[in-house]
Amino acid sequence: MKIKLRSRKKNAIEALMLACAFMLFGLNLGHAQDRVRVSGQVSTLEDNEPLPGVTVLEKGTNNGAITDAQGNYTLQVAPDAVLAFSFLGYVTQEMPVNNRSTIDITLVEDIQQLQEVVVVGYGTVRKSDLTGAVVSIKPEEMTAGGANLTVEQMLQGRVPGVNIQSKSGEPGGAISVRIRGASSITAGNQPLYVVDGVPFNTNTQITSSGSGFVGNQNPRNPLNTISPNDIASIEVLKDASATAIYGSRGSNGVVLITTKGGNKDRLTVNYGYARSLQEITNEYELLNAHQYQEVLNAILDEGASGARVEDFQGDGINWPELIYRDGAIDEHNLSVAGGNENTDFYVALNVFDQEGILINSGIERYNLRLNLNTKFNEKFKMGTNLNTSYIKDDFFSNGTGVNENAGALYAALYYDPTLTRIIDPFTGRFTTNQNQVIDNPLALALHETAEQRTYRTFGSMFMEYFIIPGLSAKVRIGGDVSSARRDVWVGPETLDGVSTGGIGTIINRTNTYHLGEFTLNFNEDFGDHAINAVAGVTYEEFNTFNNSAEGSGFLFPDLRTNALGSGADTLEFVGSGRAQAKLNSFLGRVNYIFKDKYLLTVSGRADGSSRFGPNNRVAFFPSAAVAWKMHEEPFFQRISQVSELKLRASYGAIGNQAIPNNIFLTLFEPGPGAVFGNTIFGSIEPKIVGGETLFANPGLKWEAAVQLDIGIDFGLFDSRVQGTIDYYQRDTKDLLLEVPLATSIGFDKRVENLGEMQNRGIELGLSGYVIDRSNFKWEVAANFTTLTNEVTDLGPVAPFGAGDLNFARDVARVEEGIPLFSYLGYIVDGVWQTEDDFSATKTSAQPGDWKYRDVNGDSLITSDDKVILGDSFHDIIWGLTNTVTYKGFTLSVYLEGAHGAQLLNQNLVNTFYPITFRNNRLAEPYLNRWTENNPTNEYSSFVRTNTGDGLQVNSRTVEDASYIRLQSVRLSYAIPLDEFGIDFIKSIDVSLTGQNLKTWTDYSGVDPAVNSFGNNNIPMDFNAYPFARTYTVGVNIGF
Amino acid sequence: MKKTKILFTLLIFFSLGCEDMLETPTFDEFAPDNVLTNAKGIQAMLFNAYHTANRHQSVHTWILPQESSTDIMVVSEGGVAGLNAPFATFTWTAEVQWLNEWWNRLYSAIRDANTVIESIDNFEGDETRKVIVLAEARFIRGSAYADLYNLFGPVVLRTGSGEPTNEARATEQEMLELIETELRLAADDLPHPASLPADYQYGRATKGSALGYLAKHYLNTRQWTEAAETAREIMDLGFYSLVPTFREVFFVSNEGNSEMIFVWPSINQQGYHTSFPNGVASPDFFSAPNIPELVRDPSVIAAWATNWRVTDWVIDVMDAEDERLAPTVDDYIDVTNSAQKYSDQRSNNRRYMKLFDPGGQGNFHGVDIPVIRYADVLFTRAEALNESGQSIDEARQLIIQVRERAGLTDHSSILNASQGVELRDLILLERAKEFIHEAKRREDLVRHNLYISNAESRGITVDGPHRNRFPIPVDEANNNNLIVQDDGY
Repeated sequence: MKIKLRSRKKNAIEALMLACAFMLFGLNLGHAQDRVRVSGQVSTLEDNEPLPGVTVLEKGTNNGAITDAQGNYTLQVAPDAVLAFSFLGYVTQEMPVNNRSTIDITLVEDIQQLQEVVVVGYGTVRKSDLTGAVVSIKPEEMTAGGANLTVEQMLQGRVPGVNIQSKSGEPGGAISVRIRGASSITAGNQPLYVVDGVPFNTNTQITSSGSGFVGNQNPRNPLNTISPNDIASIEVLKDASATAIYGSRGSNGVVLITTKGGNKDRLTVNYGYARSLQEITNEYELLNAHQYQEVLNAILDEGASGARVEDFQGDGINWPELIYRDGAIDEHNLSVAGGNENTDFYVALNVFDQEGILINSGIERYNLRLNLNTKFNEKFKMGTNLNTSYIKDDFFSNGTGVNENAGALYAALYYDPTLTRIIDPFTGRFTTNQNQVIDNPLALALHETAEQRTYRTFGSMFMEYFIIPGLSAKVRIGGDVSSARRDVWVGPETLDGVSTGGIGTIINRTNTYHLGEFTLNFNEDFGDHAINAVAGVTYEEFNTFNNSAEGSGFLFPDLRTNALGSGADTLEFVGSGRAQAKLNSFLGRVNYIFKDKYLLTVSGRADGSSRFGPNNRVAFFPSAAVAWKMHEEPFFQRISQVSELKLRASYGAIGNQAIPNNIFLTLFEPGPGAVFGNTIFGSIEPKIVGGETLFANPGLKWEAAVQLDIGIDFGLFDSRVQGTIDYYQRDTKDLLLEVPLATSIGFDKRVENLGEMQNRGIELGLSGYVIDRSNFKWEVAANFTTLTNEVTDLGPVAPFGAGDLNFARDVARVEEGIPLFSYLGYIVDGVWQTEDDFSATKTSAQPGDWKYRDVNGDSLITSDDKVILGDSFHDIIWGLTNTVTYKGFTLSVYLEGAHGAQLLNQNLVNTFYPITFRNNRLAEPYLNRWTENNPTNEYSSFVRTNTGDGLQVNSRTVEDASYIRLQSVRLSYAIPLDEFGIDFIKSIDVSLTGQNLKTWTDYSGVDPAVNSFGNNNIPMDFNAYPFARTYTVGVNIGF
Repeated sequence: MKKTKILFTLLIFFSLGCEDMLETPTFDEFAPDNVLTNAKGIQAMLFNAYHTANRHQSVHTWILPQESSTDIMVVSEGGVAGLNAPFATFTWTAEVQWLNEWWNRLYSAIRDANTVIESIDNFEGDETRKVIVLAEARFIRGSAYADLYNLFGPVVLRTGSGEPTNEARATEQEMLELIETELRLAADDLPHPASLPADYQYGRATKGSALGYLAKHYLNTRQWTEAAETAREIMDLGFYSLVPTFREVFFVSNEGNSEMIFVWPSINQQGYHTSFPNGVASPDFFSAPNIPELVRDPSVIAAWATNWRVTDWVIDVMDAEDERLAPTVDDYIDVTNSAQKYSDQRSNNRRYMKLFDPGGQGNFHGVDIPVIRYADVLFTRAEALNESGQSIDEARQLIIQVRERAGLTDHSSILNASQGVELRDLILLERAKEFIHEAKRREDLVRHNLYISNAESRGITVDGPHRNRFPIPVDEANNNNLIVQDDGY
């Protein structure tokens, strides 16, 4: 939160102006006698209070006066003079004298200048008039943390109630954003992003990974197309009062992004350059070749079966080292902003180039933005925002499967370290290993490649017509076209590609979106009453067109995907698709303010969506909020320490429609075909959505959430400390639940409206100056959030499992009374020791085996012994930013913490239950494993390690993922150019930033925030692209 | 001023003058009213039923449990061994993954067959084709229920695409009636294998396939007379015969031979393949002198960590001249080009390489998996005759016919065996030798109530007779409130 220094500044400036005015007055005394005398009172328009300190100036002269404590002034002026009344924070007003001797004036508060204005859905409000839970972040706060690579990073840890975590260290990689927990089980849980008034389509990424390519479950971040440098403010709408105007898309919260505008009066040019270096924060510690040989052979000697590790020369190969590298980021940013009285513009070019910390991975982005606003006269305003970008993604082959389906990082981690050659000298091919079903890591890293080029342009134009000053009609037309092409190549150097001479796939996807919006805005004061209202109608349409082509059997594979047709005719495959969704909505909001103390907001949206059954297409989402500015009450004025105190309460309904199209129908798709003889004959099959077949539900309707929010905004000690506290409770009902069907139906699931879930918690935001001197400031900003998530009702649906990754199936559970997707598994009490009583268990056990707890006491370890091991919702998250400014130096240190969530460490699963004996493993457990001489309870002997018996999810592999992270430290210095007498450059800032510097956690994997799994609410850590520590040097020059 | 007003009006028109709201066609998707309305769509649905019923890459999940829970196979190492372990140790539960997969697969095939049967009136054009398509759908439905009954006993009968209501398990009587009616109706209308219609591809059901499934069903349900009669019907088709050389029955180059009554066709292409050969060979296997057709270049064919081993007794019990020994691999060359011997490494470690594809690539092998072959029909009739007290001479001759094909000349044990238990035991032994890796051993033992005692004789603790059938898988039991699980599970 930014501290307001308004009152302090005002006093200083007032004094200065008063002094100046007296001087002017004195100088002009001599001319007074041949003039007329004018007097009057200046008061405020809002509450008709006299306004002292107003400068009254005879226009075109130095003759002027200052109003006294009662707002009165007296001045000798020419009879045809024009008086200008100006006061900081108010709109300057001019008034011809016209021989009058008394001129009373009311001044209007300059809202733009005086009051921080906050963008809300379909409009703006003064921050002090907010009735909902809205957090506004401005760039100066956002950059305090360091170089922001993405929009989400700008918000990370700074907004109470918003939990943002990078899912991996992949360049441009996916980021999980959860506002106030999760509102849905199966539908989307990501917030709605609205960029300059246009909902942003985040569903534009190519999801298919291409034939033979082992892809990641998390598509890259769609917001990569927005340059963080262009952002003027971000507003996060959290409660129903704020989000209900987005109706069916509001239940996960709304993030409004407003990009920068121009300057009315001057031209500014800014150029920034930043160079970052990245290194892996935390490497997987694996057995080295000698340890590998020693430990694996010892395990064989103790009774395991598998191939012995033979002697080898030298120290083997450290495979991961071959694919790691130091990463680098270069970023250039050039912006020009300017304008005149009627028109302003902002033009910016951003170039971003990142080489990831794994070879052959990276992202390049070129982004151009134009924002232009103009008014033709007092009645017409129009403007446009346009963003166009080109992104090139280089993907590293990094999947979540096992063996040959896992990709290069997995291969590097688990490949036999005792191999001594990368290339087999006899065949000239990459070495393969007879004891493992994994291809050579380098073969995969170098020759299983995918790159994507995305061209995306989005923006809108608007035109506003003021019918009367308080009533305007506004039309906005927006559009978004993104076109992406992914080229995937699996070379003949790999095992997958060898038989076919390479496999090439090209996937194209075009997304279009258009918006038509018509709104009426009304803004009028009637004495004690003020009304600010908006009503509108919108139409939105989403279209997706995709096609793909695959070729293989290349005689000359050198041309790769550039000549797919040169492959074998019989191995060519093509595909295409098209989808459409529409939304048609009516929306409205009324803010009513009485005596500037009592605030009421009523808003709602009627949404119609093509995604739902014909009988349930339209729904209405209303909300209401009240607020009371207690500090405006006379009885409160005496409490001088409290400068602001506002109580708020809101309640409303919002919806969720983030489900696939057409699931209310029974659909078919081209099936795999059937083999007869040696030929494939075409077939059709029930459509498979997310790996499962869905049974039709013609009665499908919205998911609806009701949210209660009670909040207090306060400012203390002349607003030197500001804060906000909210309690929220969101109950989602009619959940769009994929109900598992009895499989004898022949369909896996049906989407039904069933069940209820609750998220509740407390949010606290606090900021203030500990020290506030002119050349030394220390500002502290902190936020704190609690969250309790609970599935409260599943209706007739039995508790069900979710989350399958390799041999671990249904790792999470959906059950009434517990948090969504709680991990379900066994408790490991330790390790069976030689002297233990083995008659206690009927399930086979021997010394050195994991000792699973027999929860139900039937002497058997069965699925009935599974218990809830935790969940993925952090009970508490917090962020703390300390900013110290001394002269031109600014040091900003940002810490974040998250506590009380669990994470399934699948790398540990793979180590404890290796799928193939000769796969390498994490070192620590194996170097400290149970043996007769080391009767530990920490790790089993790993002699008996079945992968398929469902024991993988247990209290050892589900770990506490709480952490405290030193997310960034930034030191910047504004070079005092005036001291050097430089005036053609306005400013030069240099900065040094370190990001992701240190993490304190008990989690044993590489990072507690990682999630390799597609679902943000079932995190699993498995071969995640490693996280990086980033050091940035930046310079910013303003002209 | 005027210009701006016109512009403004135009913008309003642009923004809201759009096409009809909220109606979106299902552009790229097939819905019932655009695809199940013609012969082509219905046939495409039928083909999906075939594809679903074909075990393809999951064929090992079908064969392994049904053999490694008996005395002819040992599965060790790798993730597969873990998944298979509950079967080998008789500790499977309703949660076991493969059980659920079987259930899903078979009911998915039933779902598709039901859709075909429900839409058959829309099959316009060739009336005779329509009759055959309907018979094929009945074959798939009937054979899927026969498989389900074989594994799980009476199950839920789904014969239409209604609402997803809870449904109780059928009675034994209802179950048998449905299977027998469906397969008989299918047999009536399916084409004779010798006179298939034009473009009726190899792998689609014929009269022989339906009769074969029906005969096996009668046999497994100990309806001896019916089993004997139905087997006779197949023999009377006059089409099927034994291939002279045992090994060649299974050769990829010999697909479609006269012994195959029903197969799951496979090709060496992803999704249409079988991976069975990956597990049979040990990870270090390169070649074996007695399987000259197969050289497993590890850079071409993936080596799986798992080992699917044939037990020693079933190899050792074969006479030296028995051609069914030929696929047995003991001596082999490993990938480092050194000579190795499986039997030196541990007991029960030899491999039976009957199903392989010299053109296999990676995990993809194109060898057809035999489901019902003529030898099985001959044994079926022999066993049924023996059990029902009918002609033992004919039974003996039928057995000898298969033994002769295996190159055996001395049949005195068969000729000397008396009707009843003695001959039954010999038939079971012949079947064990004949059908290695054809997933027959479990049902053979169950049919004669030997499955559990066979396991116990190997030192396995079996917790009750309920193990003769598998439990209703959790995917069904958890979501169908009317399911009553078998006692013991």
